Amino acid sequence: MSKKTKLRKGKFNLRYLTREGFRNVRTHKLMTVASITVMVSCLILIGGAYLVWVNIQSVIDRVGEQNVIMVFVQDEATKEQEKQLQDQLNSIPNVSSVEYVSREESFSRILYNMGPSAGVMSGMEADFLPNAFKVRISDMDAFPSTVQTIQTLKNVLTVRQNGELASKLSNIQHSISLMGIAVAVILFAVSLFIIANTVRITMFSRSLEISIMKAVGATNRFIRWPFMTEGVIIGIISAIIAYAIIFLMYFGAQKVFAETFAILGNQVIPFEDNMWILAIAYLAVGILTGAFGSGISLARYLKEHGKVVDNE
Amino acid sequence: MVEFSNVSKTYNKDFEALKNINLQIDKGEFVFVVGASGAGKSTFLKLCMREEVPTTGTVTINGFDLNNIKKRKIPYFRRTLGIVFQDFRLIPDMRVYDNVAFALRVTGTKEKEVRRRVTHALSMVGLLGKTQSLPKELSGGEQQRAAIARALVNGPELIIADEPTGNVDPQMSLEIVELLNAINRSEGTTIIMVTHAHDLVKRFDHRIIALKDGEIIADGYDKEQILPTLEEDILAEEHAGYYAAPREMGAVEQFIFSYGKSDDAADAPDAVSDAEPDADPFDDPADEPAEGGDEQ
Repeated sequence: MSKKTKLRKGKFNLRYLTREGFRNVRTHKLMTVASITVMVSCLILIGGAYLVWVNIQSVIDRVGEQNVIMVFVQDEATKEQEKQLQDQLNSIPNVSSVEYVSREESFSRILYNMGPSAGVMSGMEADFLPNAFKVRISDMDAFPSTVQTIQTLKNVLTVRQNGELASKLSNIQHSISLMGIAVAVILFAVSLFIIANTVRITMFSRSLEISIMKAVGATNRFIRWPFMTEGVIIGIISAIIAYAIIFLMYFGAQKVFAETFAILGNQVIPFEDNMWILAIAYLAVGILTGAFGSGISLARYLKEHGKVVDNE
Repeated sequence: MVEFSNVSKTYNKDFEALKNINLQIDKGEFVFVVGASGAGKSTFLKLCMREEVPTTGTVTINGFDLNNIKKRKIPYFRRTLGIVFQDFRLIPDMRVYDNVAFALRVTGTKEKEVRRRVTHALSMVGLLGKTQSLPKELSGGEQQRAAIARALVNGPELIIADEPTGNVDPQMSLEIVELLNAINRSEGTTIIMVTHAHDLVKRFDHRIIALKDGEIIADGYDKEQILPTLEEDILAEEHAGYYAAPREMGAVEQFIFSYGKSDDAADAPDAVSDAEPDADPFDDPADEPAEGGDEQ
């Protein structure tokens, strides 16, 4: 058996490699800017698509609360009678839930839905509204018979329902949800493709550096880590920039569409309602795409092109 | 140290880049590997660096069986080598110090030790005053010395220099080879230097391995015999199509090559005058009748 030279293994210097990642971002400014531009564009598309979908969902919810019947209570009914009515509603087989909605809550909801236009209601009280029960139906097929049953109960003032519309809107909402998911998936795939190609171009522009690393005995992990750090940094910067841009764009869009939504008795979903989910999603997508995009692209590059000798 | 045993390398099933190479290079040797373009020098280097595997035969370097080494062990093998390239291959945005230190940092060496060894390597190549310079601020010779320092810093047992003088001026070329020579003598490092620069090779008394068409045609210390053979081939390449002459044509070949070497056509007859008086240079001595024989 031949004698083996002692392997010069050594430790994996994480601090040095992470610093190298930061240095790479500073040194290769043009490629960094190109990568950030691409990723910001992709994040804005994805975030924009999500916010549009959220607003469409809200409009549909508002226009027809698909499987909900509002049962308005007569003003003369006492608390005890209201409780009795609630028990009767709960006992109907096709009813999945019954929720009491006081006149004050209804009034607050109306003001919320009107958004900036709510000023017209200033000075008014909730007295003109009846108390109500929000009744959810399980089986849409038995919707008409359930409505009939409810209408026969004591202390019921009126029942607001639209079974046919509810059914149609349910289908529309389902379709839009599927379309929204499909658009988001396609946008994400396109983003990944564009980012992967951008990263690949970066690899080729750094082929000299990579060949030197291989020549001096750097492991693939050692080569990969600074690139992945670079990818994560680019991902975080892109997420922050994209978040700022989408916030400004949405702020402008809110003003433009506020009136249209008010006509529908609704308002544009405030940015604050989605700010955290968007922030987390942007950071996650930015970091994961940056890290894995760089890692996977580099692994493929090393396999296909990572040569040391390149002459003759 | 370096052993090639019946090594052949074939590309695309029909192109034999190396044919049945057998060689052994011992620790502490300084070897020039010479040959014309396409002789197989690049393939030889790739096998040494484990960029390629031989089609047949075995390659053993520094105790590593390169035929059977696992892929993940290859970087560790390469750390036992120092490689010097023709185009220096310094990282452009790293200072000289960091370029040299890089070879240690990939092994996870502590910074204190890195500092000590980089300083030592740079002092050996005479670049202590240039540690904070970028490669673009250095001359070709200085860049190559920095590259040699990087090759040295890990204390390798073997340095492979691939045309290290290819991009430097003649004066600096000599200094580079003398530097490698000094490293070989003082550190006992084995040096394999692939080169076209026969003028440089002639100035040293090191072992020469000559490659041609994938085969070793000479392996020894007799530079007076080995190098002229190769030079004729190189000249034949340069004058291919008109002046190239097959070796079998003896005197004709001598006339053509001696004519081709001179810029002044009037010198041509001098080449003929070296032959016997009244000899027709286009006569092939093989056609001369044997002495005492009758022509029929």
